[in-house]
Amino acid sequence: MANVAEAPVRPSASFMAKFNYEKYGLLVVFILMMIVFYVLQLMGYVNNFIEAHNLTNQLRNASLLFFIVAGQSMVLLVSGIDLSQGSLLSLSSVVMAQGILDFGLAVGVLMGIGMATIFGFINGYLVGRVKIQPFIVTLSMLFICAGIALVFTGGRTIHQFTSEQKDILQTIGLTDFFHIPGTLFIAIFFFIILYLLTKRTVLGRAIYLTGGNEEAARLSGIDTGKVKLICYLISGICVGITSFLYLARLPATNGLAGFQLEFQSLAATVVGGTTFHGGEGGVTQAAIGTLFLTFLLNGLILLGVGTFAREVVVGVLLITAVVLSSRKRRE
Amino acid sequence: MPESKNLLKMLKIDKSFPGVHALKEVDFDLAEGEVHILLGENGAGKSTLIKILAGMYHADSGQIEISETPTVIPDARTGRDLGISVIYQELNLVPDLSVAKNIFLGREPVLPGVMKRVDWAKVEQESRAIMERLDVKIDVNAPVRSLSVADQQMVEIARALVFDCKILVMDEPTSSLSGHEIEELFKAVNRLREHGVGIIYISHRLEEVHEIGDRVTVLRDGEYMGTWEVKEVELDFLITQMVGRTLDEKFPWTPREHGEVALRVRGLTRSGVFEDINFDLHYGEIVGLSGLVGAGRTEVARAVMGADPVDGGTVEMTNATKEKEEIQKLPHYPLWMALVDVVVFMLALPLFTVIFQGIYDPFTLNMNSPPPLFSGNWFYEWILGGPLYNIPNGPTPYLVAAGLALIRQLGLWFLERQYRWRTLVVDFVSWYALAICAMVFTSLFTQNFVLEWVMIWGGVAMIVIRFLTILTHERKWTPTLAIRRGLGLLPEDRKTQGLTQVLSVAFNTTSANLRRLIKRWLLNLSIEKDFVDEHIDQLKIMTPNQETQIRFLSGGNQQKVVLAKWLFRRANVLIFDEPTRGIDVGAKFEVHSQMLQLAKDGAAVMMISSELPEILGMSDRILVMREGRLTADIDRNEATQEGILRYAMTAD
Repeated sequence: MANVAEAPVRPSASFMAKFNYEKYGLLVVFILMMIVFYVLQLMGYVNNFIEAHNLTNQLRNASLLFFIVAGQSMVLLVSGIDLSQGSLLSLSSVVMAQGILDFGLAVGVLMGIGMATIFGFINGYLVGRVKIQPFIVTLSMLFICAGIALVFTGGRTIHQFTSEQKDILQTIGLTDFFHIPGTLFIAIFFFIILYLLTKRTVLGRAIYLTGGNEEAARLSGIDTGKVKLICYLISGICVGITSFLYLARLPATNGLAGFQLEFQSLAATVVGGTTFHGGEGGVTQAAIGTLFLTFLLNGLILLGVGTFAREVVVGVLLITAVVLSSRKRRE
Repeated sequence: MPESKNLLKMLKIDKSFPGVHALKEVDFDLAEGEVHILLGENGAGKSTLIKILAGMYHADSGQIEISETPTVIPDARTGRDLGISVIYQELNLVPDLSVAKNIFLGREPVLPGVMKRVDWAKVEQESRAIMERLDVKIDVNAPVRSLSVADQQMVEIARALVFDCKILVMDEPTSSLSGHEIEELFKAVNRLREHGVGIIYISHRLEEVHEIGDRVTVLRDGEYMGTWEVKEVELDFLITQMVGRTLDEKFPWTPREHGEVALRVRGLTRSGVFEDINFDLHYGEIVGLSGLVGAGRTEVARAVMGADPVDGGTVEMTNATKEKEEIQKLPHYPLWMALVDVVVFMLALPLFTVIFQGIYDPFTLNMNSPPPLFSGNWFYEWILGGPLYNIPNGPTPYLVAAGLALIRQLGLWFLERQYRWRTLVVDFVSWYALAICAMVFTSLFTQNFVLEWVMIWGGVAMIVIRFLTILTHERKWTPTLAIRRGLGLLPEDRKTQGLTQVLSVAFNTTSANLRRLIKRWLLNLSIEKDFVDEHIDQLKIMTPNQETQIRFLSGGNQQKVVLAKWLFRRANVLIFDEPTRGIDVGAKFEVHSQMLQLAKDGAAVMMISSELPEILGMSDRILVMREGRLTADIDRNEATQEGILRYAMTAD
């Protein structure tokens, strides 16, 4: 009776059934959105949306945003949250700028990225090892970093670079190759690295397992505290790189450079399909979410929708994304 | 005791859950002023019966009469209004409220008026009266948190009395009490009895039957076995009534040779949970761990795994099989550590600058003439670094340093140095570098060197502590280490502890041994695919494909995935915690065969089970736990259901 083996069921799926709506559904929506805006442009409601200059600019924006969204995704994957990204960006960019002024380009950039890395490490240490709630840790860090950045600059803007430094910075930040912004290549390179990290390394697997079920991961021999620490560290590094790219685009910064940027990054992450439960989502979703949010906001601006109305749209979008993902969960 | 009025009568109560016939026409009755003991093995149906009485479940058929009137109890509230109170094993009190407030929680008397203010004076007064009635001395204004477990139980009883309760159900009230406290409880129970309250008493301590009970009813497998006057029955008779579950299930057991000791547990203690656990597990052996639910079996398994902290005792794994090499072949110097080292060395560059470019003396504050190396204050300059006055400009020195560091790392990679001591070195260098960086930052923006000194001495202190720890301390027993030594646990609650529900079958299968997938620095997914496909066939896991999320699989198939996970790990000491709970017969047999196959291949297997037939059918040796202690170690040939139950339920 007991030993009867039924052959495992392996239904052959058609393309429609195979298509991963969770992962790539937003990509379809994104393409539809672009088409809608293009139609609106043809009808004359939107100016200059599908147009080389605008697309280049938006791709540049998106590639800058992608770094912190990717960092946020890593943190969300281990069911954490990083609220300190924006103010850490302010801090690291002012340290970077001051460092460039005082010690030269290379040292300054390393100082800024190092600063962000160290704060990412502190976040990670407090969450992963001391085991404090991520929300509390990163909220405190938000205030700490924002405070230090403002005290450090005294509210002034740092922009007194030499013309040589400015040239180098803007070469990195603003060069286009046939209308494709150079930063996009950096972002793609970074995307590939993070993609390999999450999908093809032990650490990446450990991140997904820790986020999906921490207790099970622990009982599988994964040091979950360490995994969390590394995720916050990656988020810090991402912030450091972003602050460099921001500085490269516009060689001036102040203590409010990254003000409230964490909300943009959270929005893009969640819209992309990375959930707050952890273990679901990833870098691909981060990239799609970033593109979607950037072009949506840009399209709305060109459509003449005001700042505050745009915020309403983002809010509605977030709730829709969360409702869809929780409905999927309940099935 | 004179014949008294019948309080409760339950007739032909029948209840089924999907897949289980929990109660089969059970009769039960309770008289006024009586303590009626309800006995049965795990899963005999005691709690189902109580929940039906309390209104939490509904019987499929049967009749309940309370005070000789047929009654329907649709929900818990009605049950309470009818005078039925249940005191569960885990107490339901609000720890920060006072005793009086807890007693009246949810039904506080109100003062007349529109505001419905609570009459706290009355609450306190009546609580005192109830405490007097129970004859216990508890300050009704003290917060419940400050009371002992026994006193908290009294508060629960007092709470039941406020309801004007006629039927009091006590679910294992003595399980967490000491001898003296039990006496106190029994005194209170006797007083309630004098007041005419009928008490249904569930217990796993058989000796209490004669001490407190008037009558006793035994359930077995949802069946009603009979009710007897306590004075008329012997304990042994009760035990024979409780056991005797049919043994018609087939178990694929065959005798095997046993090898060396695989797992040695000595004096494992966790206060309040289990105490002084000693046992050996041999290669090729299947050991059954039996006992009642709540005896501490799962907790012992988790402690052996290193998942929970313990207060004392040792777990030793000899790891002496042919798999040894494979399991211990881990890279000593992982790539990420190498990268960390590179970064650390780049940060440490200012240190070299200090050495090569000069140092100034903070005591004379003379910046212009750095003293020669090895001059007077060499300790300060060399060991502590001293404050900087110059750091290099431009990228070249950093690149050179990074290159040097990279060469060093590659060298280390090939040499495979010992991990722990290398950690020490990395610690040293990284803290040193951090200190120097902090100095750079602080001396740039302030004239205050306090922070540098704190960083420096903090770093030194930390390194000393790490050093002492390595020298004196044994490595902490964690799941990571246990797994590395070849231990695997199939947890009782596989949904939340064994598997990650939102991830795929393949992900879960390889989760315990990700390093086995590494090929040229990255995970080779074809190894994973082959292994999982092979084991889906071998273990007959029913799943559409290996990318299916675990949550879409049935319980039995999930269990097989957990098993596959440890097969992938090549674990050679396995603890199965309730491996067949809630899975169907076919999967059950599959799990048993796999367990046997593992033992045949030389693994040591420990199986925790609440089902006596499974324990008797699969084990070579049976350990029995009772209230956190190992009470018996029985050979397969000498084990009987009665014997095991006697060890599990009575003190010897």
